[in-house]
Amino acid sequence: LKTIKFSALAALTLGFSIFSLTPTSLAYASKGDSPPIITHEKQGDLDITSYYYENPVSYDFKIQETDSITPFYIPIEPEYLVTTTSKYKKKSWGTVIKNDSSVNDSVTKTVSRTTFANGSIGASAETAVNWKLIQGKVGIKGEVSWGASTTTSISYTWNLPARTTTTIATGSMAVLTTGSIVKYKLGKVSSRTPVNADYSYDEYSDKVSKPL
Amino acid sequence: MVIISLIFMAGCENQAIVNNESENQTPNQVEKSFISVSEYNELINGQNFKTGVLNISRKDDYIYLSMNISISPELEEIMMNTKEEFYFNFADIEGRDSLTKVIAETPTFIEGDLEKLKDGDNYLISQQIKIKPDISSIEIKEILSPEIYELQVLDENGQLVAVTIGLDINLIY
Repeated sequence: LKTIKFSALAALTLGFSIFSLTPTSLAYASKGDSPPIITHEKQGDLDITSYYYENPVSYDFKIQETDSITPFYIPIEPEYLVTTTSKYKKKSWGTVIKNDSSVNDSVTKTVSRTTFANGSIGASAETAVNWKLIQGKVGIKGEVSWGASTTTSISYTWNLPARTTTTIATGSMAVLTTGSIVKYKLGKVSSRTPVNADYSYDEYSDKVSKPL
Repeated sequence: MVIISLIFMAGCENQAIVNNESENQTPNQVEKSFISVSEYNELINGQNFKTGVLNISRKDDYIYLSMNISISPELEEIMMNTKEEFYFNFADIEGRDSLTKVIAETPTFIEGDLEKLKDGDNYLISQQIKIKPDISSIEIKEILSPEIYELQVLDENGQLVAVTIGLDINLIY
């Protein structure tokens, strides 16, 4: 699992304090995950409880429908036959903010999000070809090349309505897929390599406000 | 010998230009001069960069988005002195696709030319988006709701550097 790291630049520069957390109401940490680091602070009328997971939490899994019909013709080129594909969210922090004042307010945080693509997709000489086959069949393009992991920094500002409690979480949208790369020779299967890939394809931000 | 002298003279001339530029710059100007908006994205925060409520209207196959933004004098000066271009853009809140699934053409980013965008004490940014002709009434209702959108600030390469979420909430008083 990759870790999302947070930058304190904005907070330090302009007086916001850094909060890095994840509410249990948003995240479903699996057994064995390390517990979140919880911080609590007050900024003016804002009461902020934040949760930071050292190991990002994977949740909201949704099985992705994939065309599993076997073609009646014999393929010539190698192909990726999918066993299962799921889309999910990968979050390493979240926060709950209570705005107990009569005016709207906002909170800002600079978040460094890690984009990733890893797993096992065959011999190293074949990874470039297999990575293309997998993305093509799944229909979702990864954000980075195979085996890469990069970090981008984005400043998020959330506007908060007066007299509400707002729950926020951000992280990566990711794909987990398993299957086989199948090669053909003279009309018959010549090799079948089991593969699995785990990669991010977008970021997400969930924000829900409820009246106090 | 002549060639060596010419090279030496040319080098001195370039050095003189550099020195003159340095002398004309105050320390403040040096500090506030950035090449890219990505170098100071942490300054684009709720204190320096406030948004009004996003107005959305629809006519035929287009939706029209417009919104006031308020920028602090400090950030304003930095943005105006940024060497590379930057852009604003309205988009679905990350991870959602209410807008994305009905877009007919990728919209053009709004150029971050603050002098052109000035509107009284604030700035007015607006964008038009062409949508598919055959979308449902539920989809229309969704894309006319300001809460599904975020305002993005993008660097010269179109990379996301700052986001404001909650465009149904006015922060300009």
